[in-house]
Amino acid sequence: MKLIAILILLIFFLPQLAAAELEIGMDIPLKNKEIYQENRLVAGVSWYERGQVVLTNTGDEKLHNILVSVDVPLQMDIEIPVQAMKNISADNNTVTARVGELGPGESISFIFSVKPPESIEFKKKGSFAISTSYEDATGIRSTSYTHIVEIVPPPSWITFGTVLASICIILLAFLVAWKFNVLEQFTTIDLITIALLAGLIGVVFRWFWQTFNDLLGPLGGLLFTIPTAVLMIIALQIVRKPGTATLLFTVVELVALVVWGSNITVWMGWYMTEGIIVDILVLLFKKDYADRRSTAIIYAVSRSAYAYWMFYFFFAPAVWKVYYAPWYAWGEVGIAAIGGLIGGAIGYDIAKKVRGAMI
Amino acid sequence: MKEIAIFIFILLLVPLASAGEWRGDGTPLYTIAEGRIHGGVYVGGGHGLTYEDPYVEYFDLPANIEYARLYVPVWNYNKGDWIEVSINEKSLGRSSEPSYVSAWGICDYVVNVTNELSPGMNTVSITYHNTNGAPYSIVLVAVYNDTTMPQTRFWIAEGNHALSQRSKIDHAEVIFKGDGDIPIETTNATLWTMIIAGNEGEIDKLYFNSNLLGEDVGRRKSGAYFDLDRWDVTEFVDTANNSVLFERGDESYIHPFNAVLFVEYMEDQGDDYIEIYPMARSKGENLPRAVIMVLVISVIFLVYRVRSKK
Repeated sequence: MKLIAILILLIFFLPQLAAAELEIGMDIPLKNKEIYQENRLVAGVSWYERGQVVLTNTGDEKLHNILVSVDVPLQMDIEIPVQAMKNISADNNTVTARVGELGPGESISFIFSVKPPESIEFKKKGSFAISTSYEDATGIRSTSYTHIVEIVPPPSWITFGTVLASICIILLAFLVAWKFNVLEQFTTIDLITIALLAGLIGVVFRWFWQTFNDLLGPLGGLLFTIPTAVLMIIALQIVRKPGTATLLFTVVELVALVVWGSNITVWMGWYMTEGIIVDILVLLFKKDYADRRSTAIIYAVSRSAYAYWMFYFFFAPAVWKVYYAPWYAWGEVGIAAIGGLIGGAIGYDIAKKVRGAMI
Repeated sequence: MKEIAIFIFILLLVPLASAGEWRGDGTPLYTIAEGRIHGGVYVGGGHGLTYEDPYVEYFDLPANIEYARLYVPVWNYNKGDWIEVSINEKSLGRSSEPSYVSAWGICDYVVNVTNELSPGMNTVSITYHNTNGAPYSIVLVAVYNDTTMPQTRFWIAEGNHALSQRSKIDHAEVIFKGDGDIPIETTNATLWTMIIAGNEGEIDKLYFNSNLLGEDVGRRKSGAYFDLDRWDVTEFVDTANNSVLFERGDESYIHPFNAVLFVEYMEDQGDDYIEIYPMARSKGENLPRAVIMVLVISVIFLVYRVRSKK
């Protein structure tokens, strides 16, 4: 009975063992997978994305006359970069490569570049159908593999929509400020305080972060999130007016625009939301201007995590057409939240001392 | 009203403070080599900022390389970073100091690789330490000798000039000085340009001898933040000096890195030669005046507030 079971198992696995002699794999886009999302292409971008096909002989005999053809979906433009493998060509949406022989355990790869057309209007799946034929001792054999990617449309309408939303946020902020006389509540000293704290965030610590961020490796962002959180808590405790955080982060961006030439004019509304969120929290906590350590930490964590979430999940895909790997992006948001936690806790102590010395 | 006026005044102080150096405006393009040769100039490379490590590029080269420079533009240089260049699996060692650096750490490692290349396919591989940065590309410029080919006059310019809104640098020009050896009739004149950090839709312009070659040239078409372009300038080439002008236009930042011009003669104009000039030194990093100004004003304000309480 036991022997029959082993025999059945062998029969069951035999076809798979035979089919596994030439293994096909594909990577696209050919970028660092720890940072960028795999298998996602953006239509309508100006550059070609590289894809790599990897062939591995997993059998125990040499394979000959390997012919590989890759059917490229959705009539993407194709380019063949200069590469080690020479017998590779592209014609009518098909990439063809020829390999003389491939020994047992050996791998060979080739690259090609594709650009999805701008005409793709909606998110859709595309399949790279890869088929190979080759010769071994038993004769001519073949194998195939399908690699599925997701193609996202050019984000023009999303971009225009977000610009419009940004302008709406600015108008809404002005409307609220005008309706509730928010600006009139700020004294000269308040405005100077906000301007200088914004200068420290937007000029001094931004420079410090850009210059020294490598020292902390992947935690380099902490060099900006911690001081920003500290200075935000100081602003809240000293100024103590509704709208302080919104004004602070608006001025931070204006300063960055002027000093570093950051091109953020049309996105200003979204950057203001970093402060709007904090101001809403201040109101929700019944005008607690980070007077408790817990609220200081909540405000700082919220602002830091939101700012990084905006960068990786909103600005990157909508504006720069870059899709980061989800775990990497969420990791960065998590680190930002930790920065907020540390900054909020430190900021509470510093703000209390500064307030005590000044007021 | 008075409060808002003071607020605006404080804000106006900041741009005044920003007029100084920060990580530097970089090195304007200059001619590093020029000459005449029976043969040609190979220019190739790719492929944009991908954060791959190792970062690999292939070059299919002719024989008899007389002079070759390898360019590795890298994003986010900071002290302690390095790259290691390997050609055909032979390591050339680590380079920790880039040849040119500017702006927010956009730098260029330039390596003379004349004796490292082989005829046919060459594999150039870069491994690097740069926590938040990576290579933009690998570009090779190689002058080769081929006695069966017509004589060619060539100029190779390199640098890393940060044209930016911030520093109000709007143009970069490199002039390829001739000694009158370019005849009126030439068969081919080719210009290659390499630009880093251009953005699609932010319209820049490229001129050759005041003739517009292209608009929005820096638009990431050769890879992310990388543009390597070949231009036929035969109809515009001058017999003496030839100029290439990069205009920033609407770009917030754009970095011209290379311009290579070669003109193919119909008849020889003298002996072959290659003249190599000394490399320009990249300016060091400076503490920006804006940072100092904001710190000083903040301290003065803090002292004022504390003293006014007492």
